[in-house]
Amino acid sequence: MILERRYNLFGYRATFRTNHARAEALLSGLYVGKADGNERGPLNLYELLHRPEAPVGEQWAIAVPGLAAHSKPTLGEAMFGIEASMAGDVARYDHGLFIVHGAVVYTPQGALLLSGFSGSGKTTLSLALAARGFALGGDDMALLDPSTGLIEPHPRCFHIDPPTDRLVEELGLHLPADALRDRFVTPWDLGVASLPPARVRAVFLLESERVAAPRIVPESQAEAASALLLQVGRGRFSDVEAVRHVAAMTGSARCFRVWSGELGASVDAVLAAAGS
Amino acid sequence: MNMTTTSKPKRREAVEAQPLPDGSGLLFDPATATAYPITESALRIWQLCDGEHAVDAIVDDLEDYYDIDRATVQQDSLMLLEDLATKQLLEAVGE
Repeated sequence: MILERRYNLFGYRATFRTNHARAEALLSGLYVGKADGNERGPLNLYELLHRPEAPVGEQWAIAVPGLAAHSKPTLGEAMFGIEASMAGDVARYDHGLFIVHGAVVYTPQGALLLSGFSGSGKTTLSLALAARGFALGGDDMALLDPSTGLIEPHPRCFHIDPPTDRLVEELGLHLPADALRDRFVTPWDLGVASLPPARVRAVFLLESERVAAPRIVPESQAEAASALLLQVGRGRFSDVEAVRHVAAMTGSARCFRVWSGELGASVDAVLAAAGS
Repeated sequence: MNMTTTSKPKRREAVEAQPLPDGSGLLFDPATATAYPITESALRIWQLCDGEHAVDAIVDDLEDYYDIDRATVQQDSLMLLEDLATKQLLEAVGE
């Protein structure tokens, strides 16, 4: 049986078609609240077919816009490929929003933006914040609306390796076995449904270097804007518009540079700095 | 570029200065699409780079504003201006 679901991702309309119920459930869990009721319009088809009869290593066949058809050996890898492709297409779509690279964590005081290059610990730190009860909207990509100054996370599956899993479990975050089995853990698996746009109250720039005791120092709003601009997708906007809007975002936030240490202490330090 | 206390640095008109609420600022050069973060004092110096103020006059202003000895202000100001010139954010320096 073929299952088909349509999603509206910041105006980008994507259709997911699969013959595998678990694949459909995984993506529905990722895009909670993003179902597209409009049956008309562009299809932008992402297809994942399970072919048990195919040779080992080629049993999950993928077809996505702009890429040659290919296959993956496991459901998790196939879903990661589909999801990454969708995220890339959302980033490239002309929605009039800026793409900001970072994790977004919701606190009663507002959103925290954790930014840093790959390997800086965004996922680990944001999952550890989720273990303390804060809603985690995503660990990789958020969209900034220049008309409101509000940011909204784009949900992605978390890149959780076994060491990260062990670390966050020690802090009390128990991830569903099903999600871990497929290596496709989403905000939904943490009990988070769709989150509203929010104002960024604090920006944390994560350094890749690890230290024994976590160190957090105030950073200027200009340095924070400059760091974020290195990783901002500006779409239809000019460079100078990107500077203005990202500066407006950091200009209403407290900004910090973070050298992470022991995970629990790092979370304590981030929350203390954020005033939570 | 050899910056001295009698130099009269002038900022390039195309460079956009974006002040931030905490006093820091960004200098954005559209020619290279690069945004340079600067401190509050550097932003103050930038605003005085109008081709009229000599470095000595800029140092006078900063000395009045910040409680730092003149030698330090002068040394830091010259270093910053050399850096801005190297980044081609200033026009040719007049005397």
